[in-house]
Amino acid sequence: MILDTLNYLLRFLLLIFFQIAIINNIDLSTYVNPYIYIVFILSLPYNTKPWVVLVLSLLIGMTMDSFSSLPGPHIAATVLMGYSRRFYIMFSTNKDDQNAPIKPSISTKGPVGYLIYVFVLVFIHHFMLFFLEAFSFNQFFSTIARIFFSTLFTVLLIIMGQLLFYKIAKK
Amino acid sequence: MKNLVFFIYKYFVFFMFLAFEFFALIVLFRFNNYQQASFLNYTSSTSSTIFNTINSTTGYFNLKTLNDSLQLENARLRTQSLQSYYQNGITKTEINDTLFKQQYIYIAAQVVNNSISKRNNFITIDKGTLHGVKRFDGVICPNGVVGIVWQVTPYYSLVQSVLNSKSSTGAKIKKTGDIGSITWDGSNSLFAQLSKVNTYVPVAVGDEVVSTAQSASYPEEIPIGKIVKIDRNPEKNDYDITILIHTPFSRLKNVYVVRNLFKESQQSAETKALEEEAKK
Repeated sequence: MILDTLNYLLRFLLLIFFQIAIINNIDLSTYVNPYIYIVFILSLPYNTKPWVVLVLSLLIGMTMDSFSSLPGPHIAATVLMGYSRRFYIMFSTNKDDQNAPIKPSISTKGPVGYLIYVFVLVFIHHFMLFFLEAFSFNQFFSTIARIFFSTLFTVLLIIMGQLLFYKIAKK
Repeated sequence: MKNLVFFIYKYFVFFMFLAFEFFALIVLFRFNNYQQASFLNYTSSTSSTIFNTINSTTGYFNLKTLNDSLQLENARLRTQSLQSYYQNGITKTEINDTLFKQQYIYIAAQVVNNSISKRNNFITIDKGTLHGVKRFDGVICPNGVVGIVWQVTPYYSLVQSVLNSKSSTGAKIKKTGDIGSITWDGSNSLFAQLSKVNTYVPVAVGDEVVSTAQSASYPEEIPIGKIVKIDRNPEKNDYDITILIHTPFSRLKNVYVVRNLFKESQQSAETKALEEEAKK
């Protein structure tokens, strides 16, 4: 139990560090802003209590917000994603799996299932985040483009990370 | 009562979700209307320390380019200094305090945190009220304008970058002296838009766009960019001009905060004129 908590704490810190020190400094285009820290919430086991997911979403959102100049968007987006996750899992997995400590990953959900899972939730997160960040519906389509391309990149990075760590875990 | 407790228990997670979202939105609205205390006050101590650590590590990578740009600037300043002018005839350089009064002071600062790819970009710099920075001071770098100081704390300031939907920088076309305003449409961090330039003004691709002292935030003639594209706006009888920004926002490191010592008197004169206009 303590080991698990430590494991999650370490993962939390590493993801935040990776996000602010590396990912945020890659300037591909104004349309591509990947946010991979949310993989922390995505990879929580199915049977994590919903309120724990929400509190963790709040915490990681707050941490991200404290590194940006405007607070709020990351909290709102991550909490929304954490809340939607429950419904997606209810919809996509059977009852037995929902109550088992299985982590969503390529090996447990299958490549396609995992891809859709990540895509849907990342899209929800980015949709909320980019609209709150723009704070207006002016240039609606440019915000939509931003959401779309950033979602693609975030998903790509998450899948790449999964493949990398999945391989290591198999050995 | 029992039913109520049961109801809350059943939808506990939903209520928690609502509470968290409500919290996020309140925080967002509160800080988005910048009148409130700056968010920077709450986070600067920890997050800035971390950003400082990251910067001091990554700072080595572009030392060479930085040195080059600073050297170029030094060369330019040396050319402007009094010693580099040949004095014709009898020397008459009397320093007269009533003729020369210092208007601008420059405070050197380092960029601590910077973003260019969001819709509203801000830059955190490591100088604050203790170093003499005030709100709405201009910030420039050796290559051109950077933005306006938006929030100040004792040790750090938050700068609203030119790459921000809310920023509007007064600018003029160097060749003709005509005034316009620089905004950013959010699509590319290399280009900004110059608007409000009337169609009778003879603009051409390649013209330099520089700052104007009318806004009281920047000194006169700080470079901003170069015109790369001119479109006519048929509805408003003015041009939609695209400019290539000179400031390298993606690798911004050394900046100067410009404190205009006459700003308060300029602004009080302007408000007085407005008040008198209103009385009539």
